Amino acid sequence: MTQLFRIIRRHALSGVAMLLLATVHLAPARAAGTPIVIGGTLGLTGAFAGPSAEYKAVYDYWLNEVNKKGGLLGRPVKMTIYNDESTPTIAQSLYNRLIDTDHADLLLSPYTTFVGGAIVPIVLSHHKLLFNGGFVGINIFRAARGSIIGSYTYQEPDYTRGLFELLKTLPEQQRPKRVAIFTAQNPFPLVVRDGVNGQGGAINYAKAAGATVVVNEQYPPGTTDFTGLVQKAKAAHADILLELGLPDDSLQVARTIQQQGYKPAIFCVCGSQVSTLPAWPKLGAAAEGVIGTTVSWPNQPYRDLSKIAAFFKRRGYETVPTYGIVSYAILQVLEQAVDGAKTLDQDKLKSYILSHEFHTVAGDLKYQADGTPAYSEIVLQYLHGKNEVVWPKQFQTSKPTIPMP
Amino acid sequence: MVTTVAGIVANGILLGLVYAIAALGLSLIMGVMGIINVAHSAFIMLGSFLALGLLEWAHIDPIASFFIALPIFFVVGAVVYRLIVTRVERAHQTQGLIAMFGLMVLIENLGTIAWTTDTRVITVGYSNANLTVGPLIIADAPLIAGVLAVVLILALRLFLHSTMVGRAIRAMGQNRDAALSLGINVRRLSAIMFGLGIASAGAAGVALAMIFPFAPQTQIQWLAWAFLIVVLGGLGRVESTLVSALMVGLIQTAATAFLPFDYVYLILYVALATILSVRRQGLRGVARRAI
Repeated sequence: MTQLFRIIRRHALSGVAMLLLATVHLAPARAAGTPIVIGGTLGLTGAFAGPSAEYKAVYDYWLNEVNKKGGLLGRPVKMTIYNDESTPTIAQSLYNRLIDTDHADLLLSPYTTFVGGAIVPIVLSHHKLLFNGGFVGINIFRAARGSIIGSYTYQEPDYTRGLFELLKTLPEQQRPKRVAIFTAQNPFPLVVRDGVNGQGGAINYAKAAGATVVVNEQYPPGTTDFTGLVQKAKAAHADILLELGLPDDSLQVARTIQQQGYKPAIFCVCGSQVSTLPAWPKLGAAAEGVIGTTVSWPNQPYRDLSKIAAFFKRRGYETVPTYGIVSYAILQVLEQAVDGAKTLDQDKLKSYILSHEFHTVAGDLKYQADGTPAYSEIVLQYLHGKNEVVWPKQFQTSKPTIPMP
Repeated sequence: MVTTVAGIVANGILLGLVYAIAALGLSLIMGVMGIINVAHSAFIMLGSFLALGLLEWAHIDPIASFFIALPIFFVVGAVVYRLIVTRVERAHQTQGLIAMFGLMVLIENLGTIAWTTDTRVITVGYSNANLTVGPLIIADAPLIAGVLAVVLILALRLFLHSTMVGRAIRAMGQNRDAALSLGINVRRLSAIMFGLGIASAGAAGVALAMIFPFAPQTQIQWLAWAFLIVVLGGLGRVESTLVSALMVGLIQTAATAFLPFDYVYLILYVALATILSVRRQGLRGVARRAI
């Protein structure tokens, strides 16, 4: 009887064990344990509420996906994103709270250099890594020596690099030679123009391309009228105009150029990724032929890029905004780094990130010692009412139209 | 050289008219009622979004929206007067300033909730077009906005100088207590005056939206320009706003043509300081409220 009972019990236990194993294999992965907390702020109200809302939507999308896949390190993931009201001082106090009170395991940066730059010292003083899909700033990255991990694949000195690479592909006689540059008086566009330590920058790229800078003007924030500047460029017969400003300025310059009947061979809004924003098509004829830049394009074979493009299409975007790409890419880096390094230890994560490749919507990223990804860029031209990739050649969706139509 | 000068004059006048329309409502309310309406730019922003809404939903051209905005914002102004201004108009000027500042913050935040902070542009047939007169190229949109500014300024001047209500408002502006003792309904006239100021701001928003990109948080830049024009012109007549705005437009355009753009605003503010050091009341101002 006892023997029979033992046999039955053994079979029963085996059955239960097999059933449990089967359940584990069939059921979706379910994370357990204390959640991993990812903290950050966004300007959900105030000046940067528009882009910040898109960052938040991307964060929520990724969070849902990652928890569906079982979280990170087998633990669920929780995101604590506070509203910094687009104000640096508020962001600073919120990052102190995220670190000291919420004990966030991993930190995401806010949107824009204006707010993000302010929180960097707080994050670094606590020996934390900052996962930064929010802003560019080559000097900030270099000072942080690899403790800020970025997802923008080109920094300010390289904003015009793709354009000048594109020019090299043109026959010599077609290359514009007289450059006019309008730069907003703001630290960020000034680096786009001048580069850093003699490297990069529109002026250096222009010289290297054998072009002459015939107009080099900077304008203060809040400039209302660009007619005079445009007339100067026109009078100087500049055949390439670089507008290195923030989105509002660039929209206004584009319209003024059209109104003044000025037709440079190339007009690039190279100070921001304004041509990927919803306001750009609303310019009508003034938008046509204008060159801009972005990080990646849906025809590139990057992981989840078509998924993110579809996500933004559902949100009413014709072109994936650059901030939509970099916000998702930084979360992919974070996810792959934690999975790969199998730790939340910040030093180990940093070493892992700086020595591995990450497959993201922004590209297959390899990091440099300063925490920025190796350079890559897409040059767009707005043709027939939509953005087309005109450089690099292997991803072209259209040949560049130079002179612009 | 002649072409250059003609270009400077043409563009300076157009820019000046843009500034004039931005400053008109502020000048009227400050000049007559002594209220520093810092919410002025918030009403400009509302005007811009009204133009956008009418264009997108009803395909109404901004030129028509300019005239539609006038009665709408007049009513809005009269309501704001009844609800807010009546509580602070006899108090110390600081209280009025704080009340208006609060209103500006409220409108801007509601605007951000309603429309987000995305930049908008209005594009209609004439937005990218221009008028070519010999070697001169004049953009259509600023030209149309300038004409609308002149129409509004003339209409307001006509109203204030040629109608009984207008004359009563001017009397009230010169001495409110005397007007009250003569049996003038000061509260009603103040509501009309405030309504006219806000109507001007709303219409200005429509005109500015024809030319410039806009967003709820960026229209504050027009407050700075409006103050510059009002301070330079002085708290005087309606036409003094026009004169000072044209002067600013011409100085800015001339400086842009001959100097690096870095110096343009410096020159503008040095000119302002110089004028005010010679004439404390501004170019054509008077000592106290009067129009």
